[in-house]
Amino acid sequence: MPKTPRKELKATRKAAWLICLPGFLANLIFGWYPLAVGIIIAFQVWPIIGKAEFVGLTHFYKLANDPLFYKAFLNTFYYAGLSIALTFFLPIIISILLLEMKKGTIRVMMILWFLPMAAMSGIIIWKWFYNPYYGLFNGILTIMGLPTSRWLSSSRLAMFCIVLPGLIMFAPGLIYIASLQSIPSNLYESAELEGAGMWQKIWHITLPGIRPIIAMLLLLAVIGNMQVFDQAYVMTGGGPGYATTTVVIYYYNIAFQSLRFGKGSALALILGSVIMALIIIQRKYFKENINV
Amino acid sequence: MLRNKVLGGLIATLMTLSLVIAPAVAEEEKTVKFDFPNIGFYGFNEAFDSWTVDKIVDEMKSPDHARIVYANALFRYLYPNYEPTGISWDMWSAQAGEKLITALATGSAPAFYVCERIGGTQTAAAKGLLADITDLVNASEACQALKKSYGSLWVPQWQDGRCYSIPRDAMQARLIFYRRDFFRDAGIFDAEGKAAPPKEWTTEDFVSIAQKLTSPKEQRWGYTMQGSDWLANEFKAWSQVFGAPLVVPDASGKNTWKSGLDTPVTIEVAQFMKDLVWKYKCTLAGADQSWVGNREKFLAGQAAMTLSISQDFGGGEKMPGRYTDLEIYPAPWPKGPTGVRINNIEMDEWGFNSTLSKEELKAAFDFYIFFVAGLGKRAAYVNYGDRYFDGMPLTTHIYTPWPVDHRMEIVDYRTYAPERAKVHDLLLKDPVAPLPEAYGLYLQNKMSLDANTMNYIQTFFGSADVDVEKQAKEYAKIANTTILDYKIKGQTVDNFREYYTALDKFYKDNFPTYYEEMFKSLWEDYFKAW
Repeated sequence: MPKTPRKELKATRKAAWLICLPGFLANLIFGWYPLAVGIIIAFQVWPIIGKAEFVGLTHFYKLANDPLFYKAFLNTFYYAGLSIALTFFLPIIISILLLEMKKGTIRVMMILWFLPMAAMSGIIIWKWFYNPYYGLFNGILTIMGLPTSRWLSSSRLAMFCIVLPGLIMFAPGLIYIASLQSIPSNLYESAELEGAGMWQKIWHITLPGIRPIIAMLLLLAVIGNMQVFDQAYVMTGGGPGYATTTVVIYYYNIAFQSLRFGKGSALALILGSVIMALIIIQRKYFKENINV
Repeated sequence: MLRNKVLGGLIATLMTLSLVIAPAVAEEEKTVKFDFPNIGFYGFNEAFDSWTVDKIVDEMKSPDHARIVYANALFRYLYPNYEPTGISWDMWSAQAGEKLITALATGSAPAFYVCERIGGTQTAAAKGLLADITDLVNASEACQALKKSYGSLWVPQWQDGRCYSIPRDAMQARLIFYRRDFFRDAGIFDAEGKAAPPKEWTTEDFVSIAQKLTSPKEQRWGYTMQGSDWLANEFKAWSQVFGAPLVVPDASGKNTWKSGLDTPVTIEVAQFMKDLVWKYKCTLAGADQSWVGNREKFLAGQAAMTLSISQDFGGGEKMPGRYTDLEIYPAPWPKGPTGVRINNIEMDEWGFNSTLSKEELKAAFDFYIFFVAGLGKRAAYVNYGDRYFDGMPLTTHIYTPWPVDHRMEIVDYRTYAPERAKVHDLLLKDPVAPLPEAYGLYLQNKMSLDANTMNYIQTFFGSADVDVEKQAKEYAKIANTTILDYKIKGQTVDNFREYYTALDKFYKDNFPTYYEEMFKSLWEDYFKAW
């Protein structure tokens, strides 16, 4: 007996739910459940073994009076700002300019750009580059007759040193190039006929064309950079002088050094709220589709 | 009637049977299982029961393995109802603490572990992560013998009159290790004509020697300083000889402690460390210089001296497998400007999992003591590292009765490492300062405190222009606000009075110069919180 449209719809929806179920459950177990528990712990003194004790807003009050709380946020904003400025906008410009070149040149340039990414053994090797006594960078400076730097040992330079690897290892350039190639060429031809120069084409055609991609990657960049941990932890451990202690590193230290999980969760909750606020602001003022 | 008789007979039979069976069942001892970390408890890497005769014979060919097999067999003979299982466990890495914490929360932690990575005994006990082993310790002959011999090492293991950890026989004093060949080349000899620093050298001697050993042409520095994970320990070592307090009483009474980073003498320590890098230009230092990295630089010949712990660097003395091709020797830590040098010997603190049942705890404790201080230790040389450290002072073995029939050949380290023995003997003569733990004053959040100290000192590595006093005040404030914001339960001003009175006597009797020049003003400005 053939299925009625209604039955078929029901069957399709059932299949859709079944397909989505594993992902949904994973999200629930590994996403929402820890989030809910984290929020609860933020209002408790949570011992590793034993019964938790509700303490209300005590942790938030302590954080408000904690000088490292503000320092950590400042460092995080500094890192995020520097990272987005250097490793987010720069690849957009490079990708746009790259596509102005000849096809053969584009291929060579892409290889030159992306090969270091494949060959890099991660953040660890940068720690050796920055070594003040026999690192690569000071070696180059010495050869050039310039004064050497303390790099990761300098409170002023440490954060910049951590951001720099992202400039070379940033992969979204590929996404931008793919996106740029999807913009119809007839738009550029029409613009040329109208007498538009290179920068006018970029401003009125290219950038609006990849706006959705920029919006999406900016959103991910904000979320990712505000939660930076690996680079700072591996290269400096949060020092020197807390110069690279980001919010997540501070949370990690509160939780695993002081064993104060309640205070750490409170800090994580505040960070989550700040990130949400930034996303809301970004979504409100940076419309993906300018025609909507 | 018949039915009643049958029922009565059945009940009587069952009761009789239960009276007979129950005692038999009760007499059979329950098997107690527990997991232990496979570090220094060799031989239980796999289930011993699964070893075939061929495997046992094969293992017995190696003297070391033979001893381990023997110790295993002895343990199983003595404790047939215990079933320990060795598990691979990360005890020392930077992530060891979070792994242990996670395991404790999920109930998968081993039966015992080193307390260092979870904040030390005092913090871990306060957080309920360590079992109370007071009764077990009091009943243990080996533990009682150890307490008698070096009582002060047991003090940090106790809190509020209860014992929470056992010091393991891995004597750790902070020493300066040096390259004798570099000393020889630089023409630096001690009073006996040996290429070595003077036995009773001071910080001034240290600086002068380090400068002589620094050779920019050969890219070698006189000293390499810890830069990250062990920087706080280096700071503590220098602070001890300067007589600088790391914490002082909180006179307001709100918390127990306040940071001592901003006391004049502690600022002097930080200034000294900064000057080693920028003024005397004799020290290799950087915020990226970890414990491991620092050792590598020293072993690579980039520095002539470095800080380490007493069982490190076999070097010039015949300690197999430990860098015998380099002329590395230990020297005691230099005395401070006012002649202070305190016995800084510490031991690893091993605590027991607080989630264990009473039977599991007893079993784990018996196992631990057997291999660390009991018959198993003597049988298998299960010491920290290997048998070449047996015979060092303060190891628990000397307190264990040594039955003749279990005797194994001992390699006395005094015969193969006489210089190390001399350094240890010298350290043992240094006076032992009163410990605050003995007066109910303990320090929590040690890891955070060390991290704060690390960040503080690291600021000096980046620039010579850093104002030490300004930084000291800033980091003291951070410590006071975020780390030392607790009050010890039951702590009163009497605790401070007793402790600092004892400290006053200690410095007056042992270091009169320091007492007159420094301690008295510290007493007035910081210590007298009553």
